[in-house]
Formats: sequence, structure tokens, C-alpha cells
Amino acid sequence: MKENNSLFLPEIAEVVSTRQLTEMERYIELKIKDTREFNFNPGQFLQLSVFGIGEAPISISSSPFNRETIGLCVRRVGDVTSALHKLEVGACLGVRGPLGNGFPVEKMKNKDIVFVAGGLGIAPLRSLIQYVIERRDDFARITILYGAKNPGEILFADELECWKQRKDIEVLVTVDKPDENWAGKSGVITRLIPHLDLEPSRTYAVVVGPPVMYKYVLLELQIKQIPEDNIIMSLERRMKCGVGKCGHCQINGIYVCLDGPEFSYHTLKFLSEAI
Amino acid sequence: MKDVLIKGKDLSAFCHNLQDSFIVYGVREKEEGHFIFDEIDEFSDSLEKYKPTILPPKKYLFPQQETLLRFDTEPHLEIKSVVESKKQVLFGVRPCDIHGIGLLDKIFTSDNEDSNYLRKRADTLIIGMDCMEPCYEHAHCASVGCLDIDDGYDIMMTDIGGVFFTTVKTPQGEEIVKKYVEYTIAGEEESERFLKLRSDRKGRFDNKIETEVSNLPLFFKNADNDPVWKELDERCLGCGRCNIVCPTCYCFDVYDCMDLTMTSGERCREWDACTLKDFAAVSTGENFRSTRGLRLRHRFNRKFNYLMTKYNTSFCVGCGRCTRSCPVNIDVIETVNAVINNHNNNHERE
Repeated sequence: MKENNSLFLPEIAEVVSTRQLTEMERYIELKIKDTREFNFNPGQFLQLSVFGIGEAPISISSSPFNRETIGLCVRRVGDVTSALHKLEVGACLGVRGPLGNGFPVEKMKNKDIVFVAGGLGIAPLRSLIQYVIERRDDFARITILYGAKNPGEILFADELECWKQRKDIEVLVTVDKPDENWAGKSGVITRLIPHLDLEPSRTYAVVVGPPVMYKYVLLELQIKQIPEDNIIMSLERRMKCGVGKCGHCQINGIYVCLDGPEFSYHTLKFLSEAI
Repeated sequence: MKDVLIKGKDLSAFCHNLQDSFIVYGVREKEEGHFIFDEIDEFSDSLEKYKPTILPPKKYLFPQQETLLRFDTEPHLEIKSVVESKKQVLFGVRPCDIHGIGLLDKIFTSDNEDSNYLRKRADTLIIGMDCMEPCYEHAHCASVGCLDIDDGYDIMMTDIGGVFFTTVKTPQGEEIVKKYVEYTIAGEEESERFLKLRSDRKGRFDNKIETEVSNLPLFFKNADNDPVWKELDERCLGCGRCNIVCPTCYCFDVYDCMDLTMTSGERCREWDACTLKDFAAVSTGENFRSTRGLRLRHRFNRKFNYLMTKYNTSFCVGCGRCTRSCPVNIDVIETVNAVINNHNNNHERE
């Protein structure tokens, strides 16, 4: 446990493995130094520190049943994430968390689940997908929709292939800009939704992607008459503290770090700056 | 402790004696008409009627820059949290600023306790000085319910004519009165004079907001598309001054500073401002409040709607610093009244 109760004091973690997924994304596996069990809910995030550079909020991407190590998919977009990409196995960094609440998995039990992942949105969803696969009998139909800009940006392609092989999961992958070797579907992820055969009252749609994606996906889900309470989205915002103080992630009256980062559409539709 | 009387001429000695045990911060005239809170060793009577200081005294509880952590990266990574605090007295704080500190207390104790703030707060005594006249044209404390104050200070002094009627609120307040200043117990006559003065002042503080302050969240909830935000979008410079001078703004940035060896350093927080362009921008390029109008709308909503709804009290304390410091004269009261009037006019049209 932490030596004192400072909100801002990270624990020390060590990099135990890394894997370059694409030019922009690297998968980093961490182990917290004091070897305590690390428990979290799918959808929670960490504040990762590279000391001297700063801190950045990153979603946990690994299975919550793995309590030994934590996997994160880091896109290189700023100073901290660039520094994270340079960390080698054995390097130490700071970790605060888990922060946020995570997806409402209890409410989703016995329901059909449609995952809608755009680009890096697969990172937090991968944690939930692994949870659902581990507890497969607790859920009804599982559909995974994944959209990437081009074939080279598809994340966790090997895992998508494994999921596709399973009889009890439907996986649909599309790319916005196919290349000559791409044999799969093309077009934005929104186009996959009209073809789905959904039973609205028993379906949860879990949507994570870039901000621009939400309003288009929401429209398609509403056409399918998915109840607003059953559409769950995870929001990306600027965050400095992660504990409800610094003000950066505020959307109207709510703090994304404290109250989210997952919200139902029913909650978000009343927040003018959310989507 | 019963209410006591402290003679005006003894205040300077009070201030001086407190320095035995505390750092004493009080008001100093930095330039003519411009006041600041600063370390003082005596109290100057000419400052009894000071206008709100450039920065509120929150800077002694939540400093402009503050170290949160110290770290060494070699020979192996070590991190320590840093909480810097020392015993301090804030001397001569106005009711508006005491209300401001009370609101920060709520913020830094709710949801997650912020030990950096709370340690400083626990080490701080507040000696209030009540207001009998509006201090300047931008003050609207009475309009937001922040003129009268019955809590949030250790002692409160009210000038009842050469002598200060002093209410002692806390055991710490009692201790410093007994230890550091000459006083007499207030008699019935002084108590009555105090109550009469407090009651008479009401007529001198106008209510400048054209509705009950408790109604404001309702008006602001319906004001997202109010034309006032478009108009302010064109005027606002996005400079952040209104945030920086506000007694209840508490948003901050966090950054690391390495020392010259590049092996150790500090993590610090620093005041930030929600009216600045990049406040809500993410590294992938999106900016969730991309215009000055949207950012000002956010700031006004924080004062009169979002935080007000959560804590059931106005987060504007009526000091008027934002209006005074705005380079393009955006006036908090005019803006609030525009929201109220535009709403009512719309209703009449419909």
C-alpha cells in the first residue's frame, strides 16, 4: 500500500514485456513492484508516469482475471506516450490507479452484447471482451465490430482472428481505406450496424472510438431501437489529476475521471459538450 | 468564548505578536489603489477599507505553483510525496474571500481528499474583517449571499467605531485572542451597536442580480444557446485573467521539472484556466470547448450551475475581481442578468 494518502503519489511498476503493434501503438505489460494483486474493472484506466516527462491517462487493455500484470496499448501522440514507447523491459515507471469506474458488467449479464470499437477504442474494449469470453456463459450473443482506418492500423489482429474462429462470437472487421491485399469489408464502422439482427430489449451496445465516431454510430443504434440506457460509451478527455480535482475532463457538471469514463447515452444526451 | 472588544490601536500589536508562532499574511498597498495579500509585520489602519486584493488569499492554501512529488530516477526510481505547510494566519480577510475559502474546503474534501490543500488549511487561522460599506463598484457579495458570514473563520472583527467587536468562533481563535492581544468582554451596549450596524448595512449593499441567486442554476441550465455566449465569443480574449483572480477557481495543470543532473526532479501543479484555448484539448487534436464563447459559458456554468447544483451554494462570492481584471470589460453581473433577461424575453415572445 501507499506510504501516505497523497492522491498524487504513484506506485512503482516495472515493464515486463513490450510489443510494437503498429507504427503508432505499442503494447506494454507492467507489474506493480510490491507484488500486490492488482484488481480492476474492465474500462478503468491508469495514470502512467515517466518521471521528468509527465503523466498520461491510459486505459487498461488486459484481462481483469490477470491479477499479476497489467497490459496497456499506448498510442504515441504526445510527450509522455512517446517516452512510454521508448521504455525497455526492466524499466520502471509510476502508476496511479485503477481510476474511473469501468463498464457496468453486472447489468450486462445475460444480455446480447455488441462491441463497437473504432481504432484505438479496441484497447479498453479488449479488457471487457476478455472478461466476457472468460465468463462466456454469463452472456448471450456476442458480436464484435471493429473498424480501422487501413489494414496496417488494425490492432490485435491475431486475437481478432482467434475470436473469429470461435463459434460463439461473431466478429466483423472493416477498414476505411483498403489496400490491394485487403480481402475483408471496407467502409466506416457505422455501415456494419444496419446488417445486424438485434433484439433491442436484450442488447447492450458498448461503443469506444474517436470522438467523431460517436454521433454516427449512435444514430445507427437508435435506428435499431437499442434503449438509451443500453448504449454505453467510454469518453476520452484531457486529464491531469484523474481524481476529480484538476477540472480538465469536466463535461458540464460531470467529471469524466470520477463519474466515467463510461457513460450510457441516456446520461450523455443531456450533456451539451459530451458528443 | 464570549464576544470581545479589541481597540483599533491594538491591532498592530496583535499582528506583530502573532509572528511569534505564525507567518502572518495581511493586506499591503502595492501601488496606489492596488492591494495584495503579503507577509506583514504590522497592521495598517489605512487598509481597513481596502478594495479586494489583486489575488485572493487562496494563494496561501492553494499556491500558484506547488510541489506534489519529488523523485530520483537513479540509482533506482524513488518517489516521495511532498506536502509543504507552515503555521499561518490570514489577517483581515473579507467575508467574500472567507466564503471563497469555505468553497475550496468543500472541493478539496469532496470525492477525494487533497492532502496538499488540507494540510495547509489545517495550519491556517483566519482573522476576518467584516464589511460595513461596499468596497467598490464591482462588489456584489450581497447578491450572491456572501456578505453575511457565520462560519469559516477563527475570529471575525467588526469596526463599531474605533473599537472592533470580535466574534471568536474556534478554540484556536480563542487561544490567539487570549495570548496575543489586549481585549475586554463586549457589553450589552456594544452587542446592540454591533447588531444594529450589521442590520443597517443591508440597505447599502444592492442586490444586483435580477432573480434570487438560488434560481440561477435553472436559468443557466436553459442558457446553452443564449446569444450572450456568441457576443462574448467575439469580445473575450481568452486570456484566463478571470480564472486566475477568482477565489473559487481551483483547476490546475500538472508538470514535471528535472533538475540539472537530469536524474531527479519534482512534479508540480500550477493554476490553470478553463478559458484558455487548450484547456480541454486532447493530444489527438480534438478540442471539446474550441471557442472562447464555449469556454466562458463553461466558466459561468461552473459558478452558477454545475458546482452550484452539486453543492447547493453559489460558486461566485461576489468579489468582482473577474470584472475588474477583464481587459475587455466583460462584467459578471451584466452577463448573469443577460442570461436571465434573454430567457424571460424568449418566454414572452413564445
